[in-house]
Amino acid sequence: MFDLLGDVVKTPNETFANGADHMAEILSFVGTGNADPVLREIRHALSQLLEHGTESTIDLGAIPFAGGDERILNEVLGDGEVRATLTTMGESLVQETSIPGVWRVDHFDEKGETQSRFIEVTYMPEILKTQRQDAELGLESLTERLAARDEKNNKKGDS
Amino acid sequence: MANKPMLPELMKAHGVSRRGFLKYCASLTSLMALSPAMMPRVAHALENAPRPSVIWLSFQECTGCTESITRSHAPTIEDLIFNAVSLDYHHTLQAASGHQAEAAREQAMKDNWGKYVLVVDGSIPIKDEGFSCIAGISNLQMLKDTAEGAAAIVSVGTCAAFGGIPHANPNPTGAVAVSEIIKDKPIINVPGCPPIPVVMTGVLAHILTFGIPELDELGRPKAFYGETIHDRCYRRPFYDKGMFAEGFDDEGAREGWCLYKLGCKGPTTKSVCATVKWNNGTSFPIEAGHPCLGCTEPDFWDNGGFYKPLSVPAGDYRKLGLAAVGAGAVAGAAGAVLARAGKSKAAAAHENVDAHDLEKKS
Repeated sequence: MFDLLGDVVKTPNETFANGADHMAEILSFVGTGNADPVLREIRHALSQLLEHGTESTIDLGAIPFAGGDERILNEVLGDGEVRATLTTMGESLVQETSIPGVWRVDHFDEKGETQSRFIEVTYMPEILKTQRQDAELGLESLTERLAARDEKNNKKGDS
Repeated sequence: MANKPMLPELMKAHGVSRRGFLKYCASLTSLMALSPAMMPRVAHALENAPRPSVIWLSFQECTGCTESITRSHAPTIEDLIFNAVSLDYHHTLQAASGHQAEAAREQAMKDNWGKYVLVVDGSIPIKDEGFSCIAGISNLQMLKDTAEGAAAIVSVGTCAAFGGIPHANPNPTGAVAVSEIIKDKPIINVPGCPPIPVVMTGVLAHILTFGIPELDELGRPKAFYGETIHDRCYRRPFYDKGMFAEGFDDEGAREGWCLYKLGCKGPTTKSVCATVKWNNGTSFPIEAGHPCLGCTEPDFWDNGGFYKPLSVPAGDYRKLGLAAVGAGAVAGAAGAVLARAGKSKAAAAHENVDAHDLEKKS
């Protein structure tokens, strides 16, 4: 019976642990068949980046994806050299895959629940760059801190 | 309205960086089922859109829709949306009551005439207007009065969208949907019993950023009701392989096989339950082991029984589309005939669901 599921050729009761782990492991092999088309879309996007400088973003939340698809995606793309964690409104994980130019961007909320998941094909994900508005606030903040420091030093000098 | 701060100012006041704003826009774009390429336009719209006044009316309902929307998950995407609009009247949430509350509604209507968004949950009794009143005003009268100055109406929940449970046979109050009363305003139906919180806020976000979203033939935003639950169900591969749970405690149920034979209405129910999920994205009914009840579809309560498989139809599936029913394993033309035959049976009386039904095999 399990031959019907392709990769799941094992008899679960003999092969896997029981309970939730058992279910999770079975589901990690269940795919919708969408992993391969997405991987080919990524390949096309990467070629467009190199030829024309065109950046692309693929919304993984917009595609039917099961555990098996995720497993294939991870196996093919792998982990690359860069891994950054943003801490704004919950965490965001920005990770270059082992295919340079292909990034995983996963946004989580403050409880760690997934908000959105993207594949970005770019030399540098936009969200990693310092935004001008933030830099302007940074300048104000640094100026205030230096002023406070000067004031503190002046008081010390007076005493 | 003019003095109300815009979203970027609110975020700045809350210490949210521009990066946070971009993250918010990216997730919101995904939530609204828009292409990621639209993200800069979403950001631009949020930066420049005025905060619309929102008046929320609750009629014949259980408050489940409000309960749902107030349990939206962190990091308060929904809170931000509600900061981005001005919720001027919601008699469950507002502090004011009685005449003061009604004065707030009237003031918001006067200040924003022709521009405010009217959100309605609950159905409207028309058999006798006195069945349901607020501050001595019948639901019917309050809806007509408030709808007159609205830019658009959002019917939240299956009761407001399709009549819902109050509309179920024998419908003692003559409950109807908003769209059966108001004919001259754009109406966006956001059904569900209750709807998913982020779907409600996502629709409001779409109205805020791009105006009225694209709707299907039942007035539902296609972004959230464009595909069936079955289309995106993680158990779909089991359906495709013909592997079905036959009972709630058999091997198939334990192995997570398809719940089609246990009455799952996923094949005929359009919603994003399988992708957006519930309880902070934890799971959805099918993932918890229970068949979909089809609560985003009209007359879901009267469709013959929650535990009857679609291939043995007994309800009124006309509004669901016979083609969708035919997508079941056995249906097709025979299913359509059975569906019509079953309609009269279901319409004649409610069918009680007992323990025997729960265990019933197809």
